[in-house]
Amino acid sequence: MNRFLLSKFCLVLVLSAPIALKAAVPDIKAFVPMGGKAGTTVDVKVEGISDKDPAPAIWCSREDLQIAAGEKPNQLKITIPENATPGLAWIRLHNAEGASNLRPFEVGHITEITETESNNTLETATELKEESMTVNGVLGSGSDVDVFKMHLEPGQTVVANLQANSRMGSPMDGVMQVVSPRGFVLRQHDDDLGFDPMAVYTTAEAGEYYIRLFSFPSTPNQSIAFSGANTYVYRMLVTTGPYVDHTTPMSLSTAEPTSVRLFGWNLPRELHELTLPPEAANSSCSLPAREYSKFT
Amino acid sequence: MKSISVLCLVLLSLPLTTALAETSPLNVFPAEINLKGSHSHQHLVIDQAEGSFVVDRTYEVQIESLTPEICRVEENIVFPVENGEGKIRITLGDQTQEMTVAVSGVGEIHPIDFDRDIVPILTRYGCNSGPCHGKSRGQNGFQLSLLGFDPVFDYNALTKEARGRRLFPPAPEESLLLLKGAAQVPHGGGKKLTPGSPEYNSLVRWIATGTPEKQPDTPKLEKVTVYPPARIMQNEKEQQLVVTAHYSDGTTTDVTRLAQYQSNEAAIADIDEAGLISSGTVTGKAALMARYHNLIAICTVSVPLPGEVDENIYANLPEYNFIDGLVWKNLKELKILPSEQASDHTFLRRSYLDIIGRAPTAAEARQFLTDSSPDKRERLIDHLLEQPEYAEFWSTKWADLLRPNPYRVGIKAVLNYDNWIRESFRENKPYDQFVRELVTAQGSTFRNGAVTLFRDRRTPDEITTLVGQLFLGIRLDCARCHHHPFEIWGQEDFYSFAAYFARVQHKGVGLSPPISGSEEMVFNGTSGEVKHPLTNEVLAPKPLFGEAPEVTEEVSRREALATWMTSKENPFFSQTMANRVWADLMGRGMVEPVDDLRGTNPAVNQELLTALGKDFADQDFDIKKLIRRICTSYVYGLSSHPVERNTVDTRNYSRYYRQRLRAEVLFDSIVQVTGEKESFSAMPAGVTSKELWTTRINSLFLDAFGRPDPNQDPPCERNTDTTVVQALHLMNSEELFKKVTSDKGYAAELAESEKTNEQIIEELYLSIYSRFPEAEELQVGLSVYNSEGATRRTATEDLMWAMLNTPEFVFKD
Repeated sequence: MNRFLLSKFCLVLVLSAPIALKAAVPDIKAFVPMGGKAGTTVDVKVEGISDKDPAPAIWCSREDLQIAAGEKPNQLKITIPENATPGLAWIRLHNAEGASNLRPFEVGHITEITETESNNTLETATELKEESMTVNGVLGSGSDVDVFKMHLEPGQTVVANLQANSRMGSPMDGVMQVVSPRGFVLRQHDDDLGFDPMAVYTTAEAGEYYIRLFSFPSTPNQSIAFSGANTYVYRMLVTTGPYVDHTTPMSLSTAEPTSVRLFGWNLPRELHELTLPPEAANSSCSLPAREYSKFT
Repeated sequence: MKSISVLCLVLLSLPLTTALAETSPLNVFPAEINLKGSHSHQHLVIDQAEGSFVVDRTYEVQIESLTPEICRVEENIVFPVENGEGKIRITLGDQTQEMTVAVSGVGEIHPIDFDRDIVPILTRYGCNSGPCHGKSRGQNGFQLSLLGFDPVFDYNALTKEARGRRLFPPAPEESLLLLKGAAQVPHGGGKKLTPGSPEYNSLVRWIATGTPEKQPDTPKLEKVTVYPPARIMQNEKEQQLVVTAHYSDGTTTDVTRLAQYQSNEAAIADIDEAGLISSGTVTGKAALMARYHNLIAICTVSVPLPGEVDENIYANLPEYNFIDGLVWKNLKELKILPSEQASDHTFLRRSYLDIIGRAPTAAEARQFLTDSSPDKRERLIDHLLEQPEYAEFWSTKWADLLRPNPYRVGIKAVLNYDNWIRESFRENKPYDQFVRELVTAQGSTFRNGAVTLFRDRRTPDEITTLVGQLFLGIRLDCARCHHHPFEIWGQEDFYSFAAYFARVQHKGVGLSPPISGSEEMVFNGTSGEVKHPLTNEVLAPKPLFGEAPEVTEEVSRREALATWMTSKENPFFSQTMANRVWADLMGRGMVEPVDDLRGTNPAVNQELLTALGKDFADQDFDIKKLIRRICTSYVYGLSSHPVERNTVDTRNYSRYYRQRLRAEVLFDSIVQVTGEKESFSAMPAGVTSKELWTTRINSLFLDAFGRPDPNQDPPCERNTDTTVVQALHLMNSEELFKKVTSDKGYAAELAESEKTNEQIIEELYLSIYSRFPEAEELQVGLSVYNSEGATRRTATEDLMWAMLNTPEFVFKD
């Protein structure tokens, strides 16, 4: 070997060795899942972090959540106390090279399930058995369609609310369909809150109804095809129970009781109007719009 | 038996017809002859009743002037000689009739008005026609406005352009205009004018009198009429037309020589340049157009089938609703008899294909065919209209018309547009509301699919042509630039109508190929006008006819337009949709093309179209009720098999007209028969092809069977032809083969079932043809199972494949 070339090769080896050992700045593409139920411990995979990197340090906007490193550097173990306030926690990972972007993690109070493949067709749909459920799902590829099934009686109103892009930062532009027992689309919803769809449907007949999800990329491209990836993460609330859409007024007084009107679906008469004491304002229960399925 | 009785009636009625012809008096048009001025003249038409017909005798009679000092006669034209009251005599055999001729104004000077007197001559002889000097850059340096729609331009072109070289007032006959027109010097267009003819003389007079442009108080041309306005003609007969121009001062002029003529069905009745109609040997109706100075009059000619039919036959035909009576009335005029009623299985399959866009399953077919209740056809229609497939299928028809290319306007905008159309049909949105929401749409292309119309069609004139054609059946494309020769709309009509869309404004990211995926807002702005392209005058919004609500701060331009357009009193609106739906269900529109309603393209049965349009409006524009009305008529249930007196009919609904199945209908039916579902890109698994949100989703099958191609212009064109490619595709398609031979398919399921071979054959006949097999067919089917080397599976697959390749499956009967 040429002597000059050999020395150059050695130089490259020497220079590159420290860089390879050093971890990159953490970059969170997605948490899978993006939330969990109070009183549970959730194993969260961090998309964007290599499982070969050293585990980064964790910062969270809420002190009530206990977040520990998982078994692998790209995993977190998040323990949510029973009395945790529903809402978002913001999590950042950091190491000596810098800090990641902030990503939201949602705390909920109703039963959660994780969507599992294959549920692309009506025949293989994931069944939602409880009145209210939150689905943690991923549209993993361009051919992925997620279908959920539930039994509805005549006159029942089902509300399905997808959180993916607008508040959770998922790169998907989801489309949600309510599909009849015979397999025909009854309603198709695209944008409700930002790119995230929401469906409200009242049935006329009893039967097995379906919620079908698919997505296009939130940054438009030129492909006439669905889009999906490991980062196309979503949380979907499906309920036939009371659902609060918004309130008037949208704030509470800290000095005196405030009368609040609730708007939404399946709300019993006693929930149409509530009087909340001043201390409710201090409970940090800020009631973000469309947050709860059950107002109890 | 029926044909024998018809023949007897024909024979019986012949002597009666002959007897009537001998006694009928001559009828002369016009009833009064008034000639005003030396240059006037009047064509006469003489006709006579002959049996159930009125026959033209114009060129059989002798017409002579009894007062040659007052008037003279050449053939069927009366000319003035001197003021006074003259007489003419009309003789046919031993029948004579005398008429008074009033002549006045001879010797008086009648100043020439360029627009009134000269432009019609230029139009009549084709000087300003499209192939000659009327084309956009003129011909050999000389340009006239197309068909004389801009007389000021024409006047300047003749008198001033090229330093006035075209006219020579000191010696008018030496003018280049006349020398060229009469081919006295070489003229590319040949000889158009004959020296000494009235038109030639008029041009000479105009030049000699100093080429006047406008005369004060020139009356305005208000309308043009023809005599006769309608006629029933026997085969191979003639009929002379007389065309009369009516002016605002109440005067009339015979313009038969100057009118231009055209037939919309020359095989039925043609017309020559002198206005002489000749009927052919084809039975049917034709519209003969006479156009004078951009106004049009129509003579409707019916040519019935030769022979006579007992009128009682028509009186005894069933009438399930008003449609039947009006179809019978038309058939009676044409002496055509309807076919028999279609069999139950034909009606069943036809209704399924028409209403929900797929063939019935074997179970559905068996249920209907074994049902013996008398009202089962009506109940079937009601049942089908309630099926979810109805909305998906009928949406595709509107998606064809509205849905643009997603590569041009963006994937999300088209997805939402498609969904908006589908939701409208899912909830059976009244048609007027559908159109109103579309025309007045505001908001984001990501949230209100209807606004995609305005993302795709971005300027007032682009939207105007679409709205006019789709919802009113009025084609305005030509009127953008000039008066169309077969239309009554001009540039002012077009741009005044376009002004309703002048204030549509856009915000956001517009079209930015190759990726037009961003969001755009469409809203009503506070400014924006449309100007007349010639005069530059700002035009206020004005409907094409009638009165529209006033545009105010509360009522936007588009809202005012929508109210006018969707009014129950607007016959174009309801009739255009009624005609569309009728065409879909009956195989052919009363007006064809279905979105081209104009006087020169009349409906084959205008009375029916009017009634159907009114009924649609009276039912609050409920599309399902319109479909129900048509499908529950007796006429809808007619067989496609012709009878002796309707083999010639292809337009009057005396029988059902077979059609090749639309691409999606055929495909979904194949999927249903084979039991093997298809997957499409950008669609969830298991959907039918009629649910596709864009024709850009790949499918070789759908392309072969003529679904609209977004690369074509217009993109909404759906090909209904049958082609060799289609036949080859059905025979050789690997995809079809896989479907038929699939282990999870219907053939495999039948072969593995406990059914006997006879039962399997019956299932195949029911699922593919919607009927039970006949005894002979059953034997042929069994021979397939019994052939050497055949297994139950292969025999079932072979039979299925063969039946899918037959016309009985591929066509709607």
